[in-house]
Amino acid sequence: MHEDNFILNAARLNLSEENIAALRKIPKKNIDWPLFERKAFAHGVDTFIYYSLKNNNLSELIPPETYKRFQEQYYEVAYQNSVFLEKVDKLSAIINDKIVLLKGIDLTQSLYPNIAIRSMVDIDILVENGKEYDIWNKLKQNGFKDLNVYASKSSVHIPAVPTPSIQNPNDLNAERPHHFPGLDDESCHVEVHWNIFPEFSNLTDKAWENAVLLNSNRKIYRLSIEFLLLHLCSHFWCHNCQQDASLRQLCDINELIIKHINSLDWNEINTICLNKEFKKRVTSTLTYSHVLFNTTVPENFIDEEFIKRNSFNFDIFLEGMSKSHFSTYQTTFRSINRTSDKIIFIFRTVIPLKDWINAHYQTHSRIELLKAYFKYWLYLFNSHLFKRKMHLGN
Amino acid sequence: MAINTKHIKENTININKECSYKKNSSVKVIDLFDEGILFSTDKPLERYSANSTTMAVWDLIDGNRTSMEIAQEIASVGEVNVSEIEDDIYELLSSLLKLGFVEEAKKTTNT
Repeated sequence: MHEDNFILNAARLNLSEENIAALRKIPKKNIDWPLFERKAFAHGVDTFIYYSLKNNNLSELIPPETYKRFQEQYYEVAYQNSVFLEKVDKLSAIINDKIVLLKGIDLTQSLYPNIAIRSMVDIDILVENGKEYDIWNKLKQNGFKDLNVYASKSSVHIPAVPTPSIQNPNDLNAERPHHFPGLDDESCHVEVHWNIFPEFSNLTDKAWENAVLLNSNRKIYRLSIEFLLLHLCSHFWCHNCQQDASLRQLCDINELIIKHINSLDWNEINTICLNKEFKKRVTSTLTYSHVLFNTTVPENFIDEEFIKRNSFNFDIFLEGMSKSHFSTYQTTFRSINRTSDKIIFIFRTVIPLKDWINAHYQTHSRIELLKAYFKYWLYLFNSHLFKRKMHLGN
Repeated sequence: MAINTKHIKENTININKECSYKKNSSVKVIDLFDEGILFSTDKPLERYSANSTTMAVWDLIDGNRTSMEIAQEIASVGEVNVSEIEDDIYELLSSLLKLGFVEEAKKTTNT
């Protein structure tokens, strides 16, 4: 697959001579460019590719219209991330306790050279175990909306099966073992976590203790490099089990290891990975990164058998993300038992309730509301039927 | 929905070379080092891409430097004759002016 080969060699901050030679060698006429674009967008690596081609004066390697679309997305990510970063200030002003930034909101500041490269869909924060419900409630009291309220009112991106409203912390713990339902503030989605290693909560405690202070005034922390790597590996493993892991997640791991190649403490990582099951998860992720991106990984974190057994199916991995929203829609539809619920599901997908539209498009008048419905229908048809990359909401 | 980021130079009007300009306080810049994005916080959906030259010009706009001085500084950094680049710099400034990203600060009076 020339498309995959191109993506794997280009989705990097720095292209080696080998990467550039490989990119030049790929016969361009044999590349299915629409498929290439779809895969790059689906895996969130279009911005990486734009950045590396631009920096190496290799933009001529892809069609101008593709380059232009990647560039547009690059600017869009920069804008969206600037909104997310402003929102962190708001969060820290509301929450008086220590918070640890996770995944994209940390990486875009600490790992990547600018905020246009690493896209994200939400802000993930880790809070102290035991304080999660109070903090989640405090955010709600300060303007963040619980989107779960709208869960039964639209099927798009939200489970069709109505989720019970949360009355007390125990309800939440039973439903979701590691984070609360997301909160929204002007199209910015926030998830409050208290356990970042499901099934291994003792590791979360250690990660919390070892977090590094980012901003003393605001009590904002980030994970230590070792725990950050382990969290990214564990997170990738969970998504890979659900067949929705993305190359962007492996790019994070690859770039993190490259950046901290001399300071990353593998002995500490070995010590943390005493649990066999946990180590297996980390090893399988690092093996993916090693095979796909040639990431430098210690031998004891590479599973040779895993590769030999052919359980490592790159095509399935790449195709897993590029399946359309429509197939997800069909799966959800089939999971509904009652005919009346099926009808409601279809109806509310086409015509969501006003509150749901307002939550995503922030309308202030009837005309804006009407426009929002048109924007939503445009999103619905483009994203779900034609597999075009579009964002829900403003 | 993705917003098409327009190029700054799509908008131009004439400017006074001896006039200095200041940044509009409502303009936000996202600096991507070798390029950037400019937009007014009043109209966040109207965003403009800026290349490295535009970003360099933007950094030099301080309410004191005249257009000519900005062109001279850019020429000095780029080690080129100012006559080679001044028209481009004035065109950029006029685009920023038309978009409302900068406004006139003061005019130098010729004696």
